[in-house]
Amino acid sequence: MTTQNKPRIGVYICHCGMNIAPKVDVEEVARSIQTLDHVTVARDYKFMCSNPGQDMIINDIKELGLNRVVVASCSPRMHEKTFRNAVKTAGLNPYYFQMANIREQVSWVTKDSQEATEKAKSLVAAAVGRVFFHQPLETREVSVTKSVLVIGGGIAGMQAALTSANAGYEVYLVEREPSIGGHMAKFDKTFPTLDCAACIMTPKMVDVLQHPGITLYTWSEVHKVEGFIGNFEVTIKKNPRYVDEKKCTGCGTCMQKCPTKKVVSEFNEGLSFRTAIYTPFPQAVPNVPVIDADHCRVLGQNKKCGVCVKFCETKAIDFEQKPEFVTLTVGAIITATGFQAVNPSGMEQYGYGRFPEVYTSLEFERLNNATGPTSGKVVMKNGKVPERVAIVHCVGSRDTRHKKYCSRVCCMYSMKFAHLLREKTGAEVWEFYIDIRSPGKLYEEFYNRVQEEGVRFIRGRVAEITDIVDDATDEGRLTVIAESTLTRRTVRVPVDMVVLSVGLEPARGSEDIGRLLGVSRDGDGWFNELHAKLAPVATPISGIFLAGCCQGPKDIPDTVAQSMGAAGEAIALLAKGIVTTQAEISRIDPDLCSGCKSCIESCSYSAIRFDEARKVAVVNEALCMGCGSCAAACPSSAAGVKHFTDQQVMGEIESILL
Amino acid sequence: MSQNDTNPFSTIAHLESINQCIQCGTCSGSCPLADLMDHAPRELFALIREGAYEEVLHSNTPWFCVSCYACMVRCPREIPVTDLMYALKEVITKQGTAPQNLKMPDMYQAFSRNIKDTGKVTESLVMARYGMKHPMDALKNIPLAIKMQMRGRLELKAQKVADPKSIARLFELTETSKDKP
Amino acid sequence: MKICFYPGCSFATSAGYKESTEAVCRKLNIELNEIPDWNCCGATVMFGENKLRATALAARHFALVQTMGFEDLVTGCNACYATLRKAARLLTEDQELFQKTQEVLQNLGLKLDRIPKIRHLLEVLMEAMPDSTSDRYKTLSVGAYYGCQLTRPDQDLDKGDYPEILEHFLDRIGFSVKEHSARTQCCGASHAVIYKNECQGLSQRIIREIANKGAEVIATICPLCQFNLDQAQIQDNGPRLPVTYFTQLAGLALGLAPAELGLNKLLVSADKVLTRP
Repeated sequence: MTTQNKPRIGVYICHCGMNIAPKVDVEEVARSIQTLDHVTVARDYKFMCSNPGQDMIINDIKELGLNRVVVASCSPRMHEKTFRNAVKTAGLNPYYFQMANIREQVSWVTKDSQEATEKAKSLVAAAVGRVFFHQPLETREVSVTKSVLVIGGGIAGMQAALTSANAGYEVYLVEREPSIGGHMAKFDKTFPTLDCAACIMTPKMVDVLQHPGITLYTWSEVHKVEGFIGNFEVTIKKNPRYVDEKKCTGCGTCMQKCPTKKVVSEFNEGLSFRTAIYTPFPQAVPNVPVIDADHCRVLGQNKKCGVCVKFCETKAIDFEQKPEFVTLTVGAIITATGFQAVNPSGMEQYGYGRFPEVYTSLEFERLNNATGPTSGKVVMKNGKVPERVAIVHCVGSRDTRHKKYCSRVCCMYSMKFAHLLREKTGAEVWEFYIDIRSPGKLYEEFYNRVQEEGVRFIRGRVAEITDIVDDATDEGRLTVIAESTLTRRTVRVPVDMVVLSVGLEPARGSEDIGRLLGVSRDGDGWFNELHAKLAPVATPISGIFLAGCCQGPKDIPDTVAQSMGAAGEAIALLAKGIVTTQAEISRIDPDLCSGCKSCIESCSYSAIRFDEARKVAVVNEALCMGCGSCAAACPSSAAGVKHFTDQQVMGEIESILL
Repeated sequence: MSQNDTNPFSTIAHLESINQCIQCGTCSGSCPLADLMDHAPRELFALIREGAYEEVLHSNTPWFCVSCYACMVRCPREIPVTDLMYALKEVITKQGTAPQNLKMPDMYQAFSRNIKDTGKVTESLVMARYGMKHPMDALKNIPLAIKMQMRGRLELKAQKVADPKSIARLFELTETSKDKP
Repeated sequence: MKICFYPGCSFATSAGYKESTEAVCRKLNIELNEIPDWNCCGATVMFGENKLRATALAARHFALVQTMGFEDLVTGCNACYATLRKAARLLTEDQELFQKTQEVLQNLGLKLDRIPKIRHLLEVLMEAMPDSTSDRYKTLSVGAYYGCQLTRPDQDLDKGDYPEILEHFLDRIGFSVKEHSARTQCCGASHAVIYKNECQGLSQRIIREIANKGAEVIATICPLCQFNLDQAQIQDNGPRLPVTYFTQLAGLALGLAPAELGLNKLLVSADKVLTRP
């Protein structure tokens, strides 16, 4: 090591307000570290991340000639970037920096103050031992493909697609159902303003279809994702529709004539039937039917039929269609895969599936919808209008046996149902709730409004719904049993209809999407955002963003806002046009490489290729994510990750042990 | 109400689970005998959290628990309600604070005594012992007892284990009150 | 098949549970090995008095089962089943309690090395009974009544609130099963004996529901349930449904005579429904 390069290390211990000090005796840590070899200066300060804190580092670098910096504060996930920038501002290579986490790993989790101080000393010493061996690293800039893939065509995906496309970028929207629209297309009214969902939704659906910047792939799925931020290679699988989208005029004759009429309608939540060739609902976008191969007489049962073929004037029916694969390059991906309603069959005490008049909230949405099975008349299966209806909150939510979380939307939609029931049927409505959660603009006001409308709110979670008849006059009704916790009485309310306000869970298939994208999911299955507060739409995978319920339950206003946020992040990335690749990537020493190709097999990013001429493995620096799999797989120690060299790691460990 | 008394229930296994209670009332709503309780389970847990220990020590609630476990399988916080009712009874029994004039503790005592004496339970003998304290209840059951007798379903002779002393010994060995409920 | 059987205190005086169980097992070549010198399990009483004592009373059998060379312990009473299971669970979970229990048992000259699997007699017959080949009872509609403690709290045998295994069993052995909603509603258990007025309604509600759904006979799996449902009808003007044990119906399905099955011991006579062509 030349004299010029002789390490002069500056160490900065952060108090983090009251988070680290006084649990850790920061002054003592600074005093102790000051005595280590190569440490030029060790200081403590209230907030290292603040402007004065950063200036302190910059000044010291300039005035004391520091060439290495250690900051002991919070997690590197929080502020590593901040301090690297400070180091860079002072003219040093930003990789001459190391962070020690004495907050999450010390002060927050250690009871004894002395023990905490000792542990902090060890960790800071380790950082000093490591930074000694740091080397300057360089990042590279790669240009970005100016297009976005949006996965999921519900309100979240549609909004993200529209915002991105309005900014002038190419958008590909993939939806696995035959139409875009998602859950919102099933709703009749939306809380708290009671806008008609269709009125605000269908124009957006048409906008998506007609937008010159949006290419719509319905009845399609994301099949493969490769590459990285700025240049993802995406393969989309277009499932066979058996109807030529270019020829079809959407006249609907095929659906009228199809003889297979008793297929359970998914869109109507099983409350009605559809044909084998169908669009899920009249306002479907695109207005092109699909043939459900399982139920079609020709495709599924090998029978002679062909009625649709006969009646189609534009010859759009094509039984020969096969799945098609389309490959695209996009700069960013927005995931908007949404939710599904919790199936309440597992809660037998509520009798769902046994009692015909027990509905889930989504079934009730359809029952109440003008395009639904009863054309919007709220009637029982026997055609009669219910006189008393119970709405049961928290079905599957706030329940450690099912979903431990609050699903956030159920209180509000339950009260919307109560309002609609009062308005449409005049029925007496009983809401059984644990706590009413109405935090949102005009939400509490809506609660008050529904109270004024005479809805009976009973504070108690329903224990049981039974068809046991206790009074002959209630024959044919169901009885809802709960403790009314405010009066301490057990109430037994005979009702005609029950709506179970079921919670939300991640949509079917989110696990697969998560795997394709490399985006992790939390314990409940929702996609993990990068930071709960400060990076709510980003994911740990750069260039992949989240919109709507796939990240956690949320209502329409929040979903739309988040979708615009996700689009905003994507746009910012695309507008800049370049991404900086990370410096902490693998390198394979050609002198040591034996050409065994173990690293190539181990690489999940296809970032290593084999140089046939030299018979060695070579890392593609643009693709490498620095995961280190190759380093672990390499039998001859040729592969290693920059910034995680053996020397650096050993330096760190030795400083803790010695 | 003395809020600062030490919690007499603190040694109960899983008592801390009631800290998770959200007071939803599923337990009380599921309870077949909630109407007979002075504080149905939800409320009893609230009382313990408030530190109203005297109230709980004298409550009739645990004595009306029929062990149907309906509350326990439905509780959204998976609180072992029925198990806690057993444990509360044990503390109350050891502290001697069961409500006066409540019939169930007497019934339990008669039942337990019968096991201690013979190792087995003979229903007629349990009823006889219980009847000494509650003669009206015993008398009311006579017509039914006659019907049972006619069908060979009433055993008046004590069922016994081979060595009743061994069961009495088991009772003695488990007498110490230091064991946790 | 050989099983280790724990009859429990109410078995002998029950309305033919003993007779029918023995007759059916004889017919099916099931050898009932009664635990010699068994004692009361403590039922719902003992855990409310003293946890260690309750556990020791139950565990005494576990040690005995072991000496008999069995791995499973079978009982026909829901209260015994739930109580023994609770003890077994606690002994597995709580090392301190296990040690103390072991000390008590050693004082009685016993030793506990292994905790048997506790099974209900219903499980045994579900495996052993052959499918029906006769239509004789196809018109006899039965409502299955489980009571509380077979499927709760563990729910491993079937769902806690709406189990179906007894229905499947009865259907398989040739009865017409009526679905109903009272299958695990509580009958008041031991409280019904002294809080008669308060609990009578619980049993009567169960009977009405089963009758409403078209059953003529009730099948029970527990002596206390049988007793409560049987006696509740005596003081009620409601429907009269004989309350049988599932073993009695199994016996009929096997062609055994009603008298052999103790059916004459029911308070509400079964003659009318069972003496059909």
